[in-house]
Amino acid sequence: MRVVEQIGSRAIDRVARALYAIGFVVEILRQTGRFVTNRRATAKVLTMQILFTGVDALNVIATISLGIGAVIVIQGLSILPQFGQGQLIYNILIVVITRELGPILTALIVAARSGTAIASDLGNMVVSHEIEAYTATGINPIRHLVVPRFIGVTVSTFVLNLYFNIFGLAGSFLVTQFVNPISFAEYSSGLLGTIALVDIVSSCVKSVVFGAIISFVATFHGLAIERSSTEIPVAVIKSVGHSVTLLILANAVLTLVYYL
Amino acid sequence: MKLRYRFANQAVGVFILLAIAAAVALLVLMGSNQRWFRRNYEYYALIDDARDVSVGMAVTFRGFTIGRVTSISLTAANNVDVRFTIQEEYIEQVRQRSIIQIVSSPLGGGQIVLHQGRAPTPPLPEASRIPTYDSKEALQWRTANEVIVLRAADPIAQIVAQVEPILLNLDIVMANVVELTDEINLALLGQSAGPVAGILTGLESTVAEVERAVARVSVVIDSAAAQADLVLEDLNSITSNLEATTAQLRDPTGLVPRLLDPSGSIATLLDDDNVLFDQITGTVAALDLTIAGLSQTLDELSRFTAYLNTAQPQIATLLEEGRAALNTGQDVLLGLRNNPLLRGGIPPVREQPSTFQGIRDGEF
Amino acid sequence: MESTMNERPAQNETACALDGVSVSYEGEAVLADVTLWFPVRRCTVIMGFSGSGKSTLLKTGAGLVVPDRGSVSILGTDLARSNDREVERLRSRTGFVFQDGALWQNMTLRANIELPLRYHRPDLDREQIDGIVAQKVEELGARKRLELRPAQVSAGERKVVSFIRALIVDPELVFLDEPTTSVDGERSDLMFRALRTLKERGRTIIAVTHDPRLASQIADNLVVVAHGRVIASGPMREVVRSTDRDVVRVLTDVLSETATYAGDILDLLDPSIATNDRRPDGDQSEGGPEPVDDADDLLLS
Repeated sequence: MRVVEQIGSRAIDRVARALYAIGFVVEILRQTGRFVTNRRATAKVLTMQILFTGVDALNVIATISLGIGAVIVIQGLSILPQFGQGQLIYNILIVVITRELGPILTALIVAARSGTAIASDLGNMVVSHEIEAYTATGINPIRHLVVPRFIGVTVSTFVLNLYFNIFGLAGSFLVTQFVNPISFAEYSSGLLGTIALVDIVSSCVKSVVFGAIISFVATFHGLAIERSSTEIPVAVIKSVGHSVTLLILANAVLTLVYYL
Repeated sequence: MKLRYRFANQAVGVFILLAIAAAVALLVLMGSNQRWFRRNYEYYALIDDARDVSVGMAVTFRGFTIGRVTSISLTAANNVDVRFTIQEEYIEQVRQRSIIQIVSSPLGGGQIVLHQGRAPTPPLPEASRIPTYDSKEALQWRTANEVIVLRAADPIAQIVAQVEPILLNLDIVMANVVELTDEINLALLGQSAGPVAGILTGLESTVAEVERAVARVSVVIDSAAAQADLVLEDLNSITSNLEATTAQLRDPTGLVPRLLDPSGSIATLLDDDNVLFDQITGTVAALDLTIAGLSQTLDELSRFTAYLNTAQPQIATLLEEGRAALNTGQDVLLGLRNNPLLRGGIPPVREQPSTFQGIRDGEF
Repeated sequence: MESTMNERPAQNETACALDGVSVSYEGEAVLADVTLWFPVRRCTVIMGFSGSGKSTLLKTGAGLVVPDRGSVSILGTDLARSNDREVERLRSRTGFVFQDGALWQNMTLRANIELPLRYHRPDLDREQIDGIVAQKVEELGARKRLELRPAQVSAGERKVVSFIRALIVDPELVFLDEPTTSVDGERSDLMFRALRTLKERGRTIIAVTHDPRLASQIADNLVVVAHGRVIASGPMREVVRSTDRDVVRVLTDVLSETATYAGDILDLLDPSIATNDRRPDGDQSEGGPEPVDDADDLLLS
């Protein structure tokens, strides 16, 4: 009987937490609506968030995407022409860079860099009563702290994904010049002829969803801290773990939707 | 304050704007590359079988893709309605009297080839029907030379498309020739009930059949080797010769019936002031002409076979059989001419060198 | 409750009201069934031992702690029945000074002070904001250069900045949690002056303090808290003269923590003595719109 009771209480606990998280997300979205119509003093927070999450991550994203674009071209050009399917390199580039790796790698980098920062930042604020200070001043902490982080991370992930594509596709072209020189016109027309609008839309949708997931999870765990600063590292670890899990699941679901 | 913080707004602005500019540029380039902003004109064609067409198949003109198949449906009259679009910039090419031809490649994939009307006219109105290559009106326009027919980009597909019906006809021709040969052999052995005139009438129709088949072959040759006129002339002369011969033979007072009639008198041959002899020589001369013509046709066919051989071995194989059959027909006619009753001896058979190479001999 | 039960005042005479409020942390009761009214335009000081629940009482009254039971209303608005916007608007009319300052660490001191103003008063331009900030900074003797971050200045300075931040929007109701702790004498004098000015302008002040000077100089009413319960409340003089043993013990103990006063320790809380001692122009307080001594009509439960 104890076991049943335990399972029951655990399940109830889980459901309650899930409902709470959903409520949190709904609140964020509601406050986002208000933020958009009335920005006031919060615009600066948003700018800084995009600076930290987006601009500062650009070098990492650029390096990774250049490298991946290069590897795809080197591997592809060494294997595909053996089957007389050299043209497929464009499809592979688009599937790998635009549709799959671009959004998910960008999201993982953002989760690792900014998700952790947001969780520990908000956790510290809770511990040092800064959140209470916002509330006391009549500044809604969700709107002033969470919404700019949500928008900032989402926008940054979206834009970083665009940069990932730019650098990834450009990187593959640069490497092509060493392996099998073709003109830029040929490369771009091959690429542009192959890429479909749905590829771009899928990539963009993914990066937006991923950005939202990262910011929801990080702010949720950051604000879930109650009093002690020792809770902060735990919250950071949880935020990364949950982010990565949810990102992979969401990627699978979105890819599935793409092929349905 | 760090420089980075002081220019945070600018940095973020540049960061976002550059990305969006790149995305917009990509979309515009994609759009122009994939023609999002161009209008397409729709036309349709009615065909018998949807086997060789598929949605998304390219419509080509002089090797350029100018449109795509958008839908295929079965009409109430059991025709296959193929809808396809022509891109705006090529719409001027869709002149009156244009026809389409569905070309499927044995390697998979196919295309619809647009053959343009010869006379420059304003484009066909949208949603009008474009006749297919084999349709009656298309045949009419083609024979009237109102259509510019070019070889398609894929020579194999092109040839397959054109040769298929020819092969079908050749099959019939061969059957006829074999039958004819048997009949003639039997007649010469005196075992046939029917007169030679009937056999020759059969031969005439056979040759007409050949002529028609070769008329189709000629279209291929036109695009491949431009020798159709020669062949057609040859066949026309053969036909006229045969007609003349047959007319003579049909004459009840003609030579052959009497000649071959057991009750016929050999004396007549000697007593009629060379009239009969002249008739015979005339007939033989006509046969000579016919044989010469047939021989030339065989040469043409041989050359065509050689051409095809490089393109498609299977077709060559079939044509080779056809050639062999015609060869036999020639032998028969020679035999008739050299009937020991008329002349003496059969000349050595003209040997056609086999141009067929086995599939395994060549490089594929 | 235990002290003089007066009739509940009209709603517009109550700045803050707690009605049967209970709060517990992790199952431990911190406040137990507290019912309390804070009248407008008065300064009420809450006293009690450390851990008696006075900070929680203050935060609950300010709406920062949501009670497990009971209701809280601020400036006539029941918080539980208001939507976000109403609560937010309400909070722009209140200020709260935290015990530890609770300054926003990632902002400069100036940004800390400016933010409530920028948030609640979008009509003000840059120069007007600068003017208001400069004036308050002058008034309270804070450092002139406000470009440092909270971690770079002393605890006392942080407290002063926190005080300025709470007052910058000119609130009708101010909550103070130990405002003078770790603030030097000169600056706390400036704080008292600022508080007196607030009172004279008809603002309501609710303060938790151990500082007898703060209590004696500005308090009209006194609330004594012990073990999560209000054991005495009412006009200053009455409570100070209470004979209830618990109340006396609390007052004596609390005050002895901070004072080494030879005479009757409760004299420390005598407003007449304190005011006359500390303020040469003390008569000003008597001439205010609401005389402090006229405390009989103060309605406290």
